[in-house]
Amino acid sequence: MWAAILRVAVKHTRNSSHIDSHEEEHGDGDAEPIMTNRVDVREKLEQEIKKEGVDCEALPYGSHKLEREEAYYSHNFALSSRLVTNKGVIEIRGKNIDFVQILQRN
Amino acid sequence: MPKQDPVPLPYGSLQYYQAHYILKSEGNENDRFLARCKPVTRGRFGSKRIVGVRWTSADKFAEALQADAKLTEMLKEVMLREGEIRVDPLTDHIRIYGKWVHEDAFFNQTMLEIADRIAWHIKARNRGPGNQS
Repeated sequence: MWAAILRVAVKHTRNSSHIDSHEEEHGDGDAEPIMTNRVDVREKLEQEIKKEGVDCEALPYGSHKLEREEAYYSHNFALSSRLVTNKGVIEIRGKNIDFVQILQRN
Repeated sequence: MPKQDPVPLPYGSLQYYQAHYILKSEGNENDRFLARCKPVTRGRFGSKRIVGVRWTSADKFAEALQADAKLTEMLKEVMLREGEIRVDPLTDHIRIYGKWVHEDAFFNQTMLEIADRIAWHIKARNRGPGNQS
């Protein structure tokens, strides 16, 4: 009986060592790392609006009252989104609109 | 063609954004600005084109927007992409927005001008009929 248990244990260690060596040969170490440079959407939009000659300023995240509201929709329209994430507010100057708020879909 | 993330996360927010153009409007009569614009199209798939737009609202606000020829021309440019434009009044401000757009191209200069034009109409109606021009 002990011999049978020992045999299984030995088998298991062999298998695990084989898996380790496999990872070393073909693991993540060989793949080139993917470098991504993510720009904040709020800043990106601010730059694009400024490029069009509109005076605007991205407000600090979470600083405006609009961002702390319970709902961003009146829900008078059918199928208005409920699960959204606020990504910031941009203040617009010299236009009829006062702010641009960016929302991300969940 | 939008760049799709090759390894998308199986959880969390999606890559779709919506820009809300907000106009401050204090008062109890914001509800009369509830409106929606839908495109009138001809053709299908690749040959689909916008031939007009149709504004609907509970009040006469839609008539003022429909009568604005410059606004209609601008809307014809973007409606294929935006799909629908909504004017959504809340308690102390009014939101103007289109549909969800992929993060690569969610800002459109024409859409900013359209929102500005709609906001101008709202302000003109808030000032009173005598001041509209």
